[in-house]
Amino acid sequence: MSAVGHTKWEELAVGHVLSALEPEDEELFADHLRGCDLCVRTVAEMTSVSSHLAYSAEPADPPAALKDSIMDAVRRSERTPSFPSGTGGDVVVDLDERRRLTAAPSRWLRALSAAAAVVALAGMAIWNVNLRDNARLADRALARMARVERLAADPATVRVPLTSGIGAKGTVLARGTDVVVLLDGLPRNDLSSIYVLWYQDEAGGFHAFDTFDIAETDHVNVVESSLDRSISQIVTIAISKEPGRVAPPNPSFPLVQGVTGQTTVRA
Amino acid sequence: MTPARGYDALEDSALVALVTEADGAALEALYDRYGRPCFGLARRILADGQLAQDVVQEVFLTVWRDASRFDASRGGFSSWLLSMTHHKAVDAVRREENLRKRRASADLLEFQPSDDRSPDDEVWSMLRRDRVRSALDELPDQQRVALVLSYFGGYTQREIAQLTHTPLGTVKTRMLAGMRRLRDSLEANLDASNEQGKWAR
Repeated sequence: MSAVGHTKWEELAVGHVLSALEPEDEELFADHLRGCDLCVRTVAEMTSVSSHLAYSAEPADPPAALKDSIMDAVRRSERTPSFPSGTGGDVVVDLDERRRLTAAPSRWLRALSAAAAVVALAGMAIWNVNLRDNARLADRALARMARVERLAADPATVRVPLTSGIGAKGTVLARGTDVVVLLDGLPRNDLSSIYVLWYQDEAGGFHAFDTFDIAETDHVNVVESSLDRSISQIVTIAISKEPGRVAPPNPSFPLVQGVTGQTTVRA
Repeated sequence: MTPARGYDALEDSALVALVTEADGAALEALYDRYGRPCFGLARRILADGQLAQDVVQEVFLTVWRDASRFDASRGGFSSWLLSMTHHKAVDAVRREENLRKRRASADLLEFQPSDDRSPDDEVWSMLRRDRVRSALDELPDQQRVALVLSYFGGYTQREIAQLTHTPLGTVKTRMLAGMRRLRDSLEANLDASNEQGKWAR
């Protein structure tokens, strides 16, 4: 069949993947699919695309009872499930033998996966630049995401989850004095105020190390910065919103904060 | 119930292999990895928490009974699982015809932030969600409407033609064009994101 003629089948392939075919079309396409390698590839490709659509829905925590219900059904099923002893407790199971049996991917494959995920991250940020932005902004975003990529890929990078009581959250990626802060949910500020990044040292003192504005709230914001000391000497990282355009000597109130886990305040 | 420590480090494909050997803890680990996005998707389509739970339970019991149906050569496990979740949720929404009638088309086109966003929701998954939504926003309106009505509304191509007062052939063409555009926009991420469920939780 010509490429033009095959478009009809590709349209049905998309309908098939999206469960959008009428029964008679579904039957027609199923017959065709059995003998068409091109459509098998199209279905696989479009299934991948549709899984991205799935992730545009907000993930939601299912009730805890659902997991219990599923596992109860598994235990009652005709297949006799095996559970490593201690499941439900806190017993470490030796999985080496299982890994050999199931040919689990090797360490290098996992490293490749991690690298691929980082490449994906860079792609995501590029998207956030928005097609309407100019090339200069795109270049800056590329450079910024390359930095995030390097930090994310480095096993020496310290990750600090940031939480708040206002619905905002984020992650700090830090290696030595190099810092990138990824933020979601901070409200936009006007020019009469500014967000300030703080760190708390081992003596308990707070130090402002950068300021930034939130201009858009519909995507994750990335703040690049640097510290005047290593992350290993820092106890917490916090963000406050302050009046004016410069950081005050001390934070008014930390809106978002996270503990580095690297050190503690000395008594 | 908490799966045995150590399963977290296994790739999806290894966990699926264990499930085919009737390893219940491996299924539990897959649920811990993908329960949230599956439930989020089912709830988005069904707009009903109880029906969404039924769908997710059916999906994971299908994995338990029939994990060997997963063919890694045709794509990642998460694609397969989410595709199954989508199919079953659409089946359910069609059975519950009244449920669909309660939902205005305009409602389907909105992405409402969930009230129960977990504090440990990974920033990576937020970035991913932003990106997919942006990709959808960049589609021509008619293509986006057709895809959203289909994917999240569970409408068939013929129903979409009736709803939008558009010839059936045009709807099919728009859906194909829309999916191709999405593929081109998201292509760079497909292999990486389907490989492992780090962003899934």
